[in-house]
Amino acid sequence: MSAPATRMVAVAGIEEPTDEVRTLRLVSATGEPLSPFAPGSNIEVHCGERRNAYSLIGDPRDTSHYAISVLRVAGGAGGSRFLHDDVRRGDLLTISPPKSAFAPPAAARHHLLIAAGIGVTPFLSYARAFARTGASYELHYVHRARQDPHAGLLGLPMQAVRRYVGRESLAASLPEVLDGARMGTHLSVCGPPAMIDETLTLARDRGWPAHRLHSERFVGVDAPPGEPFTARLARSGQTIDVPTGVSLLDAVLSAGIDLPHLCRQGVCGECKVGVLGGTPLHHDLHLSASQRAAGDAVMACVSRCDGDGLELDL
Amino acid sequence: MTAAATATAREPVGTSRLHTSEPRWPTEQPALDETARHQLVVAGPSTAAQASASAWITAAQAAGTTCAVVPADPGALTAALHLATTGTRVAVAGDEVTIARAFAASLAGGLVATEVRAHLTDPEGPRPVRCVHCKSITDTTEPVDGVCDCSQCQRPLLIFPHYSRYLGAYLGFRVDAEELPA
Repeated sequence: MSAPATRMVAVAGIEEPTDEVRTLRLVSATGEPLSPFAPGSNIEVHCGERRNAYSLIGDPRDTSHYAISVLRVAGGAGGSRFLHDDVRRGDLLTISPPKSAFAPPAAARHHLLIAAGIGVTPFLSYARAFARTGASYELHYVHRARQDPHAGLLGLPMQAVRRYVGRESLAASLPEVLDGARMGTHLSVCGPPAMIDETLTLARDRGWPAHRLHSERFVGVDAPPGEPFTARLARSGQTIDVPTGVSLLDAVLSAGIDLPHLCRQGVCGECKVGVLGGTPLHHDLHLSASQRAAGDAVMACVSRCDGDGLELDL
Repeated sequence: MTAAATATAREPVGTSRLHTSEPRWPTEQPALDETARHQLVVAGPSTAAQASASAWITAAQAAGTTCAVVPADPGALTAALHLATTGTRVAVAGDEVTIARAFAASLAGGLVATEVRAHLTDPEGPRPVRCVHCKSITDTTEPVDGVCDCSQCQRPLLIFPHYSRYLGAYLGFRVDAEELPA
């Protein structure tokens, strides 16, 4: 199996439903059809030097085009600025194939979806999949007072969507929403990390077991500078030093080793490395508790070593 | 070692006990799930089962968790779960039949296995066997690997060491099926 290839798409349409959000319609530029995807999947869009991940907001079975919604992030690293300011209709973009990282839980009898701001994007493809399968769902969507709701909501059945203006408004209703969820409901939440944490904590406090809670966060962790350690690379035989304040990922890249990576925030899982020896000190949001306990993999972008050294499958 | 020894002891059936779906319900009372918001307690009629339920109810009250007692009748639990919300757990005490029915009703009602706690207070009590021929369930005190008559179609059923949590019964099939004329 070769690594999934990137592909060229053309920007077939641009909508700007609000000042901050730009929706791009992408079609195959090679004649080869696009692939269907799992609801909640994202694609990476190459924005100059960077690659940014965006949720696909269209119908997962519709292979005539992909659609993404891009929020302008003023303080970001430039990927969203590029897609807002530099991309025009007819331009070609390089994307990676869809990656499923936030699929709807199959066991759910009912889906309780809670989204803040641009975090609504994965749920737009959920809603289109649910319309096809008849799955039961409700979407609670909060946006800021001076921000228009996402235009993608307009295609959804109104009885399934409840809108809130301002976080306090959602917070006031959330206990009742959680307590009233019928047995068999799963909760999926997407938005800024603080909003996700508050929602999940509230759900746990109200008796929701962990296996009914699902979340996708786009803003990751700021890794602490940590203690220095040594990484032994089993395959290449190299030993590299990872000083305080330098990530394992950067140390590996500096040594000339190509390690795939994307978010650098412990979220996406792209830079996962097998651990053959030593004890990882996990800071990421990607691994599950049991995967962390197994100690056989580490996210190089944020995680470090609990001890003097790690032996890595590199 | 124990599993192998058991397999030898039950040689006539020739089944491996190393990998089995047979439930091993705890005979010591498990603690209630303290993360629950609401607790449904199901208990069989025996004194031991009722005592177990009382202990759970006391624990729920002490923890400030609301709690309801549901009769040991699968229809009653199904009805209760129809109205239940997420955050609810089920705790069931009794014989294997009581536990099997409450567990199956819980799964059908949208709970997952970790949201159900069981206490086998009457290990000598009956167990449920589902006839693969007529699909009805017979409660019997015959052991696994033993033979009982199906209460519906009267076929002699081998109680096979395979258990379905969703159906809430052991698998039973005609013990002399291979000797019958085609």
